[in-house]
Parts: sequence; C-alpha cells; structure tokens
Amino acid sequence: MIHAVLIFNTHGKPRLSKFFTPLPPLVQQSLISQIFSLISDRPAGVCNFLDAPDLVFPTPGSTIVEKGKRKEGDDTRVIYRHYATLYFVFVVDGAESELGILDLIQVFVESLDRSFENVCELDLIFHFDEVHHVLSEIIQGGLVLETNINEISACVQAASRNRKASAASSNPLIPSVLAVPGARGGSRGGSADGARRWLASIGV
Amino acid sequence: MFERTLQDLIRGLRAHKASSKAQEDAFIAEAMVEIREELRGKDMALKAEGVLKICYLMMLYPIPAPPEFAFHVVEVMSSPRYHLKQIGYLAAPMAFSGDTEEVVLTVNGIKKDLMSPHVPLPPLPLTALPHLLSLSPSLSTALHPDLLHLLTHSSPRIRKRAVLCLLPCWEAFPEGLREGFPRLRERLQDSDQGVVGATVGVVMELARRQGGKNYLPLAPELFGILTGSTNNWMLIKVVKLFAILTPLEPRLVRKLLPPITSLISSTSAISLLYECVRTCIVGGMLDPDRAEGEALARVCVEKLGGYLRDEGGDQNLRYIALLAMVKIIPTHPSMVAEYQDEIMESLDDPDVSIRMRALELVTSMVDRDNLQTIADQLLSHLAPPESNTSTLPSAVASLTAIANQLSPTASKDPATTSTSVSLSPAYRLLLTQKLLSIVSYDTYVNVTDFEWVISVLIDVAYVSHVDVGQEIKRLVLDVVGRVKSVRQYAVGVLEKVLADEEFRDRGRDGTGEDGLIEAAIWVCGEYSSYLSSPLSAISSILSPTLHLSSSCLISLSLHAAAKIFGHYAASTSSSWSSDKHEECKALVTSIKSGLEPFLSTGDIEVQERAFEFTQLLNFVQADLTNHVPPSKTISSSSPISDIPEIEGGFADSDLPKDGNPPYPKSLFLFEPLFTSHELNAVAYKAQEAVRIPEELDLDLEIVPQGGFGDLSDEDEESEEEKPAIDLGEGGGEGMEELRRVLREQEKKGKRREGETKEERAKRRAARKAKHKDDPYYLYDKNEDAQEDDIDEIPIVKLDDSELAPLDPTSISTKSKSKNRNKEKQKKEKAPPPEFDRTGELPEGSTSTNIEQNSKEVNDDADKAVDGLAGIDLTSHTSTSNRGSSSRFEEYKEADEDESRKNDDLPATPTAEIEVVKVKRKKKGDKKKK
Repeated sequence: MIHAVLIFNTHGKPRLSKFFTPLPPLVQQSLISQIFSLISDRPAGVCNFLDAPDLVFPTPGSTIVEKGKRKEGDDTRVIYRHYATLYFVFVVDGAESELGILDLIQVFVESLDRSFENVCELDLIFHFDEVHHVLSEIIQGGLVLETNINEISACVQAASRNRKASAASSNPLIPSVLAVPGARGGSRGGSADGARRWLASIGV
Repeated sequence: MFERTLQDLIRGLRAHKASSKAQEDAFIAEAMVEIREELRGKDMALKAEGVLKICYLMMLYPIPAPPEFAFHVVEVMSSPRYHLKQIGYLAAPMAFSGDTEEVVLTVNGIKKDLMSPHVPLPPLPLTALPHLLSLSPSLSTALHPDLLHLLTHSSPRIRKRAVLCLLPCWEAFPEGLREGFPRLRERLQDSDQGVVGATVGVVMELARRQGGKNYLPLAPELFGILTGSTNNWMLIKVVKLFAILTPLEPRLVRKLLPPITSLISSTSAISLLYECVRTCIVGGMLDPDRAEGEALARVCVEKLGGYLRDEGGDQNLRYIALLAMVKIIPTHPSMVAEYQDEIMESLDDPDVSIRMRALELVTSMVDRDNLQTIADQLLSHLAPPESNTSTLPSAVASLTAIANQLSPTASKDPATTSTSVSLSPAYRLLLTQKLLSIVSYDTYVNVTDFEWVISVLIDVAYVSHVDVGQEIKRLVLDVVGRVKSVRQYAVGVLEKVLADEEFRDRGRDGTGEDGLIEAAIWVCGEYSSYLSSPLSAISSILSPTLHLSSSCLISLSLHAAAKIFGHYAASTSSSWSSDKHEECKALVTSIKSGLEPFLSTGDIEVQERAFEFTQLLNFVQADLTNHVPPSKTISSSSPISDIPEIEGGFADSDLPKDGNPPYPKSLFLFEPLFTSHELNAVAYKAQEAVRIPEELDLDLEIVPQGGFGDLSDEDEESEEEKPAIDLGEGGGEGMEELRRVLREQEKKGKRREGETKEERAKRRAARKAKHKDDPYYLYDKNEDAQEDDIDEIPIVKLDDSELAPLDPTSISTKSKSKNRNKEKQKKEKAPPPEFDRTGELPEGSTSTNIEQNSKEVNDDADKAVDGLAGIDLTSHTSTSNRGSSSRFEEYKEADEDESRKNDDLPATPTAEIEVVKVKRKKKGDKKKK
C-alpha cells in the first residue's frame, strides 16, 4: 500500500503531507525533513527511487528506529518525481509496482493541473484543501482508488460544484442541490481503456 | 472582530517569513489564539475555517492540536452543509489519535452519511474512514454491516470507495472477513472496471498480510481479469498478486504461463512487462525441472540485462533490473553471472540508490571464484582509487589520503559530490558490513586463501572509518582459531599493526580501530611462538601510550605481554648463556617498568592483572639475580651438575633430583599458565547440544521446606561435612570416564581422613545418605574453609585428546572434510586450506538431536500469526465455492472439521493449532499417494 504522499518544494517546505499509516506528528515532520535532505542531495539524471542506508520508514508498531539497520523483509521504497520547484514523493511498500507508482505520480500531477489550470506552487500553497480533495479522488486509505484522469477530474469538479452550491445556499438542507457527478458529462466508461491511455500519454 | 480566512493566514505567514524567526513565532501564536476563539464560537462556518487553519499549521509546524480539537472536528463533521462536512472529514484523520470518546461520538453521524440517499454524501465519510477504522476496532465493528451494504450501491464510485474501506475495517475487526469475503469476491466481477481494480488492490493487500492461502479460490476470477482486462494498473496488480499465489499452488504455473508469456511479448508498457518478469521469478515459474522454465528464465534475464546495459538510458530501469536480479540469483546464478561486468559497473554509479541495489546483488552472487575480485572492488570503494589496498604500508598511506579527503574544506567542491556521497558514513558502514559478510559467508565457504582474508580484514580496519571494530575482531579471532596454517602469517602482519603507533592513536577516538588492535594483541599473545621478535612485540604491546587506551585493551595487553614473556623465557632456556641472562634480566626490568603505571590505575581488572604479573616477575627477577649463568652456551639436554642451588626453587619440580638445569627454573614459571589447553572454535549449536541432566528439575525447590527443616540437627553435626559431589549424568562416554575419575579421587581423600576421624566419618556417611539425592542442599560457608577440603577437591587435567575418538561429530567432520577435499581436487588443483568449519561440539551430542532442537525453534517461529493473518478462510470459502472449486480440493481437506474453524479465530493465535494443521495436511497427502 501507499504509506505516505508528500509534496515539498526545493527548499524543503512541505506543501502537502498525507500519511496513510498513522504516525505521531513529530515522526512525520522528521521523516519529511529526512527525505527532503536525501532527495535534495541527489544530482539530476539519477533514478527516481530513493534508497539510502540510513532511511527507515517507521512502522506504527516499532517506536525505536535503529539507524543504519534495515529490517529483514523491509520493502518500503521512496519514489519521487521532480516538477519545477516541487518534489512529489510517494512512500510505498512492496505491494506497489515501482514503475506503476511513477506513472501514478504523473496522474496526480496532471489531475492537479486540470483542476487548477496550469498548476504552480502558489496554487498548492493557497489551496491546500483542494489538493487534499484531488488526492482523495486518487488514493483512499493508502490504496489506489482511480487511475483514469478523466474520471478523477470529473469527480473533483463535481465535488467543487457541490461545495459552491452548499456555500451559496441559505438552506442548510442542501442535498437536493447536490450534483451527481456521473449524471453529467458522460465522461464515465473511459476507465476500461483509460489507464492505457494515461500510460501512453506519458510515453511509457 | 475581523476574521482571518485560511488565505489570510497563509499570506500573513508568508509576509512574516522574511522577517525574523521570533516574529514568525509570534504571528503563529497570535493566530492560534484567534483560532481557538473561532473553534469555541457558535458559528459553524467560522469553526470549520478554524479547523482548516489548524490543519494547515499542523502540516507545516510541529504544533500540538489545541485542546478539544477532536471534539470541534466532530461538530464540523456533523454539520448538514456539504462544504463544511467535507472540511470536517478532511480534518478527522489529523484530529483523532486512538480509540477516544470522540470516535464513539462520530458513529451515528457517519452511519447517517453513509446511508444518505444523496449520492455525493457517502464519499465524504468513506474518504476519512480508513484512518478512523484503523484506530478504532469498535467503529469497525459498528460500521461493518453498512460497508457491506454499500458494496451493492448503485453508484460505482461509492462501491469502489466502500471496497477500499473494507481492508482497514477487517484489520481492526478480523472476524468481519468471514462474512464479507463472498461479497468481496462478487466485486471481482463488477461491471465497473474501477470497482474491480479497487477489489484487486484489497485482495492484494489481504494476501500480503495473511499469506495467499485464503485467496487461492479467487484464482479463476483473477485469471479472467488477467486475460480480459486492458487496464495496465489492474494487470500489474493481478500479476503481482499471482506472484504470491503461485508458490502455494504449483499447478497455477502451467495455467498462467501462456497469458504471462503473451503479455511479456505484446505489452508496450514497461511497468507491466517488468512486473510480469518479476512474477515469473518470484512466483517460481522458472523451475528448471520444467521444460519451458529454462527458456522463460533466459527471456527474463535477457530483458533485465537489456535494461541494465541501456547506457545513458533510463536509470529507473537499471534500478529495477538490479532489484529483480537479486530474486533470480538463487535459481539461475550462472545466467546473472553473464552480466557481472555491468553489475560491477553499477557499483561505481554516481547514484547511491543504484549502488545500494548493486551492492545487494553483488553480495548474493559471490562464489568461490569471484570472491576475491568482488571483495577487492568493494575495498577500493572504501579507499580512494589511487591507493593500492593489497599491502599494509599502502593502506597506511591511503589512510592519510582519506583523512585529507574527509576534511570539511575539501569536500565542498561540487565536482566531488558523487565521491562524497560514496563516503557518507551510513553508506560506508553498509558497504563495510556487506564486505565482511561476503567474506565470512556460511563460515568462509567461498574462501580459498585465508592469508588474503586476514589482509582484507586489516585493510578494512585501516580504511573503513566506521565502527566495525567488534566485527573485525570477531572475524580475525575466528579465522586464526579455525585455520591453523594461517596463524604464522597472521601473527606476522598483526605484529606490524601493533607497532603502528599512528593506528593506535586513531583507535582511541572510539572509531572502531581498537577492535583490530585487541585482536592483534590477543593473537600475538596466544600464538607467541610465531612472533619474529618477542622482545619488540612486548615493547609495542606495552607501548608508552598504552595508558591512554580503554581498560579492556589494557588488560588484554598485560595478559598478552605475560604470555609472550612466558614463551620467550621458556624458549630461551634451550640456548641459555650469559648473554641471554642479561637480555632476560633487562626484559624483566623493562616489563616491570611498563607495568608500573597500571599498579595504581582505577580499573580493578587492569590493576589486578598488573599486580599478579608484577609479583610473578619479582619472583623471576630474584631467581635471575641469584643465578650464575654458564660460561658457554649449552643445550638443555646436557647434564651439568655444578650449578649452585637456587634459592626459592620449586619443591615439586619435574626435573630429576640428581642435578639442576643450567638455566633458572623460574623461566618456566609463566608458560604453563597459558598453554595447558588449546583453544578451538566452538560449534554453532554446541550449547543446544548440551543435554540437560535427567535429574535436573528446574521446578524443584532448591531447599525443601524453605531450608528450615534440617537446621536443628545440622547444628549438632560436624562442620566439616562435605556434600556428595554431584557430577550429573549423561554427556556420553567421555563424561562417564571423567566422573569415574573424579569419584575415585574423592574416595581416596575420604579414606585418608576416615582413619583419624572415624566417628565423624560415620556420621558423615549417614548424613550423606540423607542428602544424597539433594544436589541443591546449601552448605554453610565454614565447611569450605576446612583444611581437609583441599585434599578432597579433585583436580584433574581435562584432556580431550583421549576423548576425541569417542566423539562421533569429530569423526564425521573429518570424513566430511576429506570428501570435500576430494571434490575439490576434481574441480581444481589447489585444495582449500584445512580449517575447522564446524567447531567443537560437546561429547555425546548427535547431529539429530540438534536438528530436533532447531526444528522446535522453527515451529515456534511459525506461530507469529496474529490479527487478520490468523483468519483462515479456506473452510469458509469451500462452502461458497461455485463450480470451479475442484482444483483446490486439497486445501479444503485440511479444514473439513468445522469445529476446528472456531479455534482458528484470531483471538487464539496459538502455535499448536498451526502445527497440528501441518501434520494433518501431510497425512492427507500420504493418503492420496
């Protein structure tokens, strides 16, 4: 499963942190800074997988993390992509395909791009809740929910319409106004060949 | 009051970022006060905004959540407005941290939202649920029926979210899996591809957590997806899932091979291709017994090799190629070996991720032929390239080179980034550990030249700059102990190490070099006969800077110096002359002066050794001063009678009475202290092989009735009572022999005494009879102080040379090593050096009882089955199987007993049940045959 999704900029400022494995806040913060310092040290043109001898992703059960000692069978990997001023980092375990996650990061970024229209770092700073909503359409509880960009952006748009309608309405019993995402646009049904399309679109 | 929105807060933070840290902190503190007010207020919109702001601040700064934060979040969650509710559910995972009362408060609200007829509402709680469910088993139990209900919701979006929620729900509430599993199975054939994808993901996670056994019945559905779907993400998941399932059901392999081979040849997505290759490897499809296995392995290795060779291409592909090759090594080492050059190149890659994978791969591909090349290359990574690592002096030179490179001024140069990465302490440590482990792998099975091993170990200690001292010490001692032929060489080089003051100096910083020095000191002391110059060895061991070292090192040094002196003194006696006399006197004086600083040291161990040693040396010195050396060199065999009597000589000397030797007898004072018993390696399982004596009952009271019962009559009896010596039983013939000797000696002593104290002896006999069976009887201290005890303590020399032929293991070892020699000679000219791989085992232990022991240990290891992993679905699914179940019959057979099912619940994750099951299965197999 996916343990964590992180976005931070090239100065190490977190723009999004979502941990699907519950960890104490202090551990989260130290992990972010540790991953950042390791990633920012890496030169351009190296692979997108971060392997460092002293990086251990703490599992909820083990509070004491021995540095420099990898546990047997620990298959946690840090997979990241670098876009302009931002690093997108996924911490995953062996159930995920390494290359598949790379493509998923691309899907995430494209979805953000669609919902913000030419996304830049400032968008993520001022709309961190929106980023969370987009992410929640792709990953839920550490498992991948949807990989089709059209479907993802349809859901994101529907949710934001619902939010606007709910905020604008004086009537608190709003559900009647709520839009049903599947009902309009007819963007549904693309998921069968969708993943192949998104894989092809990024040249894999 | 003006309310700050999230945007305002962020703007404010950015404005204050430029100014000082203190101002930023002040701004945050101010904002927190405001937020707390907003949270406490009545306005739900303000409250939600406050919650959102807290979430933002918590993401950026290590700020604790304000008190009652979770409670406020619950309020926002229960707001009827969609946009506020969404904020509440967004904040919920951050706010809740355990099975708190707030979680209980949410149950009804969540239930209501889940069951809402308005389609946009249920996804909100479903988004937050995985986190909440994993925190609270009670919530999982309460919501499980609702989640199952949502599995058949009309909207596929809600169906797939509900499916994903099942995983955390079942983790917290494992019993739910039984009820929910058929429902999950139905989702595998859902009309919506997204739902199927989510279901596959959940099955994958379940199979990873509890083993694939429960999910074998899903194979037909999964197979259908594999052949029918075109969604790459889903195909990857299914292929990965089959990698877990195939090792459990070998017949699946035959079924899977055609579709997977066609995927490999047809797909354009490298990620899918890679996963297919990986599944072939991990899923055991490359079985060399199968005809197509070999060909498939060839295809896989070629694909991976192609990624690896792709120079200037995708680094990611090189990384995963290395990753997958590790898996293929155990079955097809020769195919991977074809790419050895590329793999070795990857060790030099500037990317530390690739280097680490290459390191792992290289470690697993080590064999007898390439060990030295690989180890040398790893060593060259530790040392800068210009240095030659094979000889000791150059290692010293390289050390200074590294010291220069490591200095902070030199490493700032951006051009050297890659080398500075390779020198990062954690990577060096890993590299060094791997290097040591490949050398010592499986008790040096790949080593052909042990002198090389010693030199590598010394080089590592010199250039590694990481704290592996204890490991190096262990290996040096291990090699020297096991391999007799290497001792001379080892002593030779280690002698030089001892003389290296600079190296010692480095070791004092606690960076690990001490380990090698400790080993060197011990080896030089123990095998002092190989020393080229005992005198200089002593002087370098008792170096003037020794007092700066750790006390452990000092006490080792003192002891080693004593050993070397003992050997020197004994060997010098054979060519005794006046020159030697002077030399010896000078040596004693210099050792004594070297010991002097330690006579008053704080460490008790060091002080004690220094005192003992000094006292003995005083004796030798007095003897030497009184000794008049012969005018000419003599050999020890020639009898010379005109040597004057020596003061303080030994009364019980072994030498013939008719004359004294030409040398002072005290020369032989030291040597016997250290050489009576040769040290050998102890076998890995020797401790397990020691049988517990049958009469040893650990539950028995040590003293019956708490030791008070016998006190009255004990007082009347003699204080000199001696206990019957409990010699134990068992341990094989050797031990029996030893016991017999001890008993005889004991009897002798008694007889002597019995004549003088007849009466007492009688009482003693009576008492002895009384306590004969009580080995734990505690005796008064005074008894031991009696003089007659000394006679009765049987001291025998424990000589296992005569016991050795009785030892079955030693015989088998010899024959084994002979066999190995034969094999070896067939293979290549140079036989491997003789060395003691197995080590000593206690007498009478057989290999079978060791195996039994280890089997018991394994059984214990198997029992770590807990929670979700403890759920066994096979019995359950057997009832719900439709049609295609016949293939998996044997898995059900083990669980036909319905009553057993209940024992398998996670509440009782016991080992016994697991073990019993295994046995039953075996029986079933036999019946079939």
